[in-house]
Amino acid sequence: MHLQIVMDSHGDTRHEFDPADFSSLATAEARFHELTGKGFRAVALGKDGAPGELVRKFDPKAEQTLFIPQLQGG
Amino acid sequence: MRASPLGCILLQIWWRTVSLVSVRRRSGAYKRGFELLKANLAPDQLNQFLTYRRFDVVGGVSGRIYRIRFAGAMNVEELDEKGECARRLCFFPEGQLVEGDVVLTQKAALESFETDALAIANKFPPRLYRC
Repeated sequence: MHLQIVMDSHGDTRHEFDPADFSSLATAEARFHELTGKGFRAVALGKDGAPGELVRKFDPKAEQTLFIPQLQGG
Repeated sequence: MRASPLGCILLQIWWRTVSLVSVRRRSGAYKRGFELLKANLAPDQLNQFLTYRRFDVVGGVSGRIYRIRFAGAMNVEELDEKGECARRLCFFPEGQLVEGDVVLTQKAALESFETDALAIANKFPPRLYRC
């Protein structure tokens, strides 16, 4: 199972999806577009804390994708 | 002033104990954020974090070293070639995110979209004290 992690005020919300299942994949892709449309950035997390990679298109191969809200300067 | 080897070991034990005790008392959201952050640190970053409550990140574009502290505002420091603070950066995600998530966001931003993060961040001088 692959994982989409959305940062929110609860810590985070996690959505699992099965890349081999068409319905599950479609839901994950729709979630990707919904969140990035709202301004979230998607980062495919590296293994063992290695640097992640910014994802601009839905990648069903990404095992863990972190969705980061828009940044602001403080 | 540089601590002796024994002092360093005692400091590590102290910080790790404080980290464990303080996390145990916090809310579920705080714990989730803390665990998510720990799960996404490289082994050397995790060691730094558990010992000193800060860790170093290499900028994905520039290769510069940034030091992220687990503490309040202006917690990101850009280091110079001597390992000293060249300037402080202030940027964070929108919304009421817990500390662990904020720090993980800063790590991911500097590693994955450094140029955008620097464009958004407010920059401050290093001040008189060292990083």
